[in-house]
Amino acid sequence: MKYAISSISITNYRQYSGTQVLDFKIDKTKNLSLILGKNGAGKSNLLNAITWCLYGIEIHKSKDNYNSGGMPIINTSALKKLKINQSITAEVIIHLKTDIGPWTIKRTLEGGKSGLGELYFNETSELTVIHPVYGQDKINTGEETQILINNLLPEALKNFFFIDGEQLREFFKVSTPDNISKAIDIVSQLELVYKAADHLSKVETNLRKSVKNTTPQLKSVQDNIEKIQNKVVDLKSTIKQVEKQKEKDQEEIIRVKEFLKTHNSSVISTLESERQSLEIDINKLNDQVWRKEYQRNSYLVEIAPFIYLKKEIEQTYKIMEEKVEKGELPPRIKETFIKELLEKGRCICGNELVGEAKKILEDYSKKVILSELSEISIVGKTTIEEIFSSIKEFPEKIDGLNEEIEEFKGQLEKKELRIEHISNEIKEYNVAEIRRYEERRDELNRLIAKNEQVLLLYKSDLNTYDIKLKELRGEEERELSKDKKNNTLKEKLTLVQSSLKVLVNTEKIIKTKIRKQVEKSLNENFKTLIRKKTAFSSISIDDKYDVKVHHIDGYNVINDLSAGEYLILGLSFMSALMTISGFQAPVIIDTPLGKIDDEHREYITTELPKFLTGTQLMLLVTPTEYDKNVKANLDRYLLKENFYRITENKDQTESTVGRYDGN
Amino acid sequence: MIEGSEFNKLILETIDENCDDPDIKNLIQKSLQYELDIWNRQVRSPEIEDEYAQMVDDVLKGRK
Repeated sequence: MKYAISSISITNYRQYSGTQVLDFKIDKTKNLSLILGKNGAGKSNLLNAITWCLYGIEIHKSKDNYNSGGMPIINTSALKKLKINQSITAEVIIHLKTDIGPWTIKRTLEGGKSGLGELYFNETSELTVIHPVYGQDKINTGEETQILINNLLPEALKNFFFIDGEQLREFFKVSTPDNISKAIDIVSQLELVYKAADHLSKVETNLRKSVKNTTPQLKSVQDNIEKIQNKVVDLKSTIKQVEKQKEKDQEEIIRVKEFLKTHNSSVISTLESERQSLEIDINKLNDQVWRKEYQRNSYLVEIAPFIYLKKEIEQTYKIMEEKVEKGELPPRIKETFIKELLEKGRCICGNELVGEAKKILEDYSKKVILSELSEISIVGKTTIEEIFSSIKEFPEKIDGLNEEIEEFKGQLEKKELRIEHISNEIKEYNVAEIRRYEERRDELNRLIAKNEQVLLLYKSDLNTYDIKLKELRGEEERELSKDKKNNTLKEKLTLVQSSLKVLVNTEKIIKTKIRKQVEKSLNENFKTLIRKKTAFSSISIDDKYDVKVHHIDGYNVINDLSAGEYLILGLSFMSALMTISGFQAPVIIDTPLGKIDDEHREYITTELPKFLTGTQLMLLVTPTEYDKNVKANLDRYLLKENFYRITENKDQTESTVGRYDGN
Repeated sequence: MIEGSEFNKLILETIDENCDDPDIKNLIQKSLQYELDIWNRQVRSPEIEDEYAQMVDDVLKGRK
């Protein structure tokens, strides 16, 4: 059944105090309604009001945190004004135009102030649906009322019609193949096939128990079947748990990766390792500077006396050179040797040393004393020459050492500056937090890989059980054919078993067909909505539900799309799912154009209302999104009666909605 | 199932292609319709089992 929203009335709901009414004129060609509001003014809560009224759930809030504190559904200003023992009701009423006449859906939640002055809220909201039955309006309240709404659009499908723009842009950025597969399962109602198979399986078990065991082997075969079936049930439940855990881990890893991406973790990690390497270099350089300075200072201590006494040393050297020139420095004969000859009184030639020879030798002995001195002088002369050479080398050597020290210091300064720069850059990020996320990413990768292996094992076990069950069922069939009694029960059992066989056999075929159909529809929608029509050749959804966007050059560019292209991919997918679901409900998108470049905004606003012709399209936009070009494009599809604006009070705590003329 | 939905056509076509027995087709169709009726409803297991037992009875009665 097709439906459109003809009016919404909101009373004391979230920031909307009092009653706000929005009436929408339904027109086939001008299918657009616009609600303009600043960020935080209450656009999302308007969408929440719709989903809360229809399903008791706010689209921006998960069921888990629904009652975990935070702002209450009932308007807080109205709550503040309550006196003791007074109560108040938050209420959303939606009027629908359907193929069979008008519907009214009302949801209320009561809260109040107790006798002790404490605020309280009713645990559950009340739902009332008024709809035409054989030309008469029927009022429905109570538990079963929700089914009426689910017949219009099941709760499981609400996210494909009441869309958060931000989530839509992120859908293909963060979705895993499991999410895609699940979305297709939900929307195609394939879930119903699984449930039907499950329930038929239970009927089969009950029937088998009832069949009288008239053949000797039948009982044992049936016992075995039951045993294996129990194992299959347990294994399926374990698989479900592991898959759930894997799904959770996959969802978390996407968030972790997104965090790391937005916090430039690879850059931080590079900077951090550069910093560590710089710290090592700095330590080495400090050591080198210290060593060189030590070397230079030791050299200075060593050479300083020579530098200071340079003049005196030169003088001494000059004197010594003169002496050598004059021959005053006699040959180097050892005094001890002459003394020995004199004491022995005999020459080395064997002649006795007497007379003139002895006298000459005694004179010579005196000269030898001078010779000893001259030896010292000769050695000294060489040393002085070395000193001279050292003094000559001094300026060059000391400059060399100083240059080396300066060079090291220069390098040190550069590295210290770089480290300071890195520290400043890293300071903006919480490095410890990034590390923690990196560790979590690695851990999750390990867990996912482990669970994938575990699942493979379990699924292989499941397969083995399936084969065994098939064999046993064949055996059971043979045994049953021998049994002439309990024909009706056996007839039933055979019917159920055969139906189950068909359902199980067709499940996979159906799923593949649906995947192919979604893929086809996704391609058509994407081609219609995308601006760069020739840049992308196709989109594929493979049998593992991996979505690939193929560039004309053959690359998969799913991770390289712009925000606008992601939005179009998301819209194309949702639209494919909407079509395949067969439900015809309004499409409401909150903040559809945020973060989208001008060109895509222009294109989306030109194409989207046209693309959804015949479907009520409601856009909740910010003034930034609603620029001049967007306005010009949307005006073609907008009736002035369907244009509203949310206005905040001075304190930005309360909002009201009123018709807007666009100026 | 949803009247005229792509899914409805597709699933029934596939079952048709894979099964010649009208009783089996009938039971599957009834089961799927019932699952759709109780979709998103908290229905107790015994109630579901009774409903299925009734469906099987109805199909067999229809055969006779």
